[in-house]
Amino acid sequence: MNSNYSIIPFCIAIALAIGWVVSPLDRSISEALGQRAEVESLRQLDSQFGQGLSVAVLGGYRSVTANLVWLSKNRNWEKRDLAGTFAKIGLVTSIDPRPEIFWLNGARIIANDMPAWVVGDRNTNQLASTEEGRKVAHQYAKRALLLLEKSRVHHSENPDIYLEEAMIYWLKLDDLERAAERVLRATQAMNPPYHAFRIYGEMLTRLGRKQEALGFLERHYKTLPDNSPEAMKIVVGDRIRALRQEIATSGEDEV
Amino acid sequence: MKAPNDKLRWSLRRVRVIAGNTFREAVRMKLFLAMTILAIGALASSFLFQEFNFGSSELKFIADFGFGGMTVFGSALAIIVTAQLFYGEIEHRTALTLLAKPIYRSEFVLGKFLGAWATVACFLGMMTTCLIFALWWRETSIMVEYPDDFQDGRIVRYGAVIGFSAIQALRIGILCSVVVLFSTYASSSLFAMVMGVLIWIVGQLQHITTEAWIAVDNWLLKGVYALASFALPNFHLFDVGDKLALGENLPGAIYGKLGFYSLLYVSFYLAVASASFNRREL
Repeated sequence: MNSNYSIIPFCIAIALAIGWVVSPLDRSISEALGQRAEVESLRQLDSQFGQGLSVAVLGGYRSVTANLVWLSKNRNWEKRDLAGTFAKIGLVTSIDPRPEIFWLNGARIIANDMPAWVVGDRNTNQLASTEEGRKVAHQYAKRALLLLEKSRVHHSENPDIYLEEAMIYWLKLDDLERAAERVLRATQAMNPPYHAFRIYGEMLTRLGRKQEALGFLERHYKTLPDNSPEAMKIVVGDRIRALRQEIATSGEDEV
Repeated sequence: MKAPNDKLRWSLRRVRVIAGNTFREAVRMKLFLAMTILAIGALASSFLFQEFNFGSSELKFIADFGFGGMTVFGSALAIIVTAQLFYGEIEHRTALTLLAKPIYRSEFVLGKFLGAWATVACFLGMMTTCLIFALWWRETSIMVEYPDDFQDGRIVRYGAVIGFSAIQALRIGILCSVVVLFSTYASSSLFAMVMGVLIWIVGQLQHITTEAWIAVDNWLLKGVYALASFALPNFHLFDVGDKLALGENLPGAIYGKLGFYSLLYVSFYLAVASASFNRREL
């Protein structure tokens, strides 16, 4: 028989002392690796599902676990199971928040498909035409925005997320002002696509802020490369000319 | 010639001999072979699973799979091999024959630890080679298909894969030392393995208990969380795969910090294991 009992309290005390001594080192490593943000998503995950899954996630098989859950989500989507689809979108984005596609497609399902499931395929026109339908559409649009808001921890510099939010504000909530604000943030994010600048210019025009739109597009035009098809320099140039004419005409009208 | 009453000097040579024997014994175990084949098979299956990949790029997906295999199978191997090799000596009474010779128990503990650690390091080395080969092979074929995306050369950082493997070796070193500690105390190898698995899980979730320790008001819970967050190592610190798979470079200081962190815990656990083993009646 062994006689280790007398050293156990001593060992626990030393272990605690070591833990206390290394805690600043622990903090500095986790901050350098950007691990602090993961605590929240893992906590959400553990509150929904069992430990076995957490170990799979923590073990490193994140991608494949998330992909398989996304596949199983398709089954809920086919059955038009609101709760199941919603829960699995949340689960996938908790397991592997890194790919933007889960956030974008999840938000699209919530904002576009779910309201149609609620009112029925034959009544989708009600989503825009009746007060009740609009309420449903707004409710799910806000849920989609909430999902995209959660992605910020991992995708704060991703222009596609801001553009998706803008589309929801514009097309589902009829809030062009906020949509324009999101598109502006997309243009300020990392590697913004050229079309984000064109959309922002167009939104400003629709908001009646033509002078601002003209200034914005003129500044953008100077940065465009000549030989990139995505940049559409000629289209932007045409739009600037059209805007100048519109502003001049409206100025004459006012005179 | 040495006088009979001369005190035996603590020797690294004896540690090396024990470690070498432990390593040879471990690599001959069927379990080592099975685990290695299973892990390489899991890595190879990443090519099949690509059909189900929606979120990430193909190369990142393969890297994730390889990193996952190193962590999961490496940790499982560390726990089983260490418990089997250490406790097996006690269970089969071979430790008695060995310890009847002029040898310190702390040398035996350190030798067993180093032998087990070398075994898992060997496993990690093989996995790293396979992962680098898989990534290189797939990247080469993608380069042929889409040369425009590789104008600046290869995008996979193969040095980072080796860096990840080295960091996992540190993590597994701590895990081996924990299992050695429990083996010196345990009355069955199963107990040592179960404790090893529990410490692994709690260590992985340790960063959550640290947050909880600050957040909860209940003093009893606070005490439990404090114990878990201070008394056990934080294995989550070694999860650097996310950063590396995304093509980011780790700051050089991280390697040094993680090395120091591991050294501290391994030294502590092995010191306690030696003290515990010294007091044990075989």
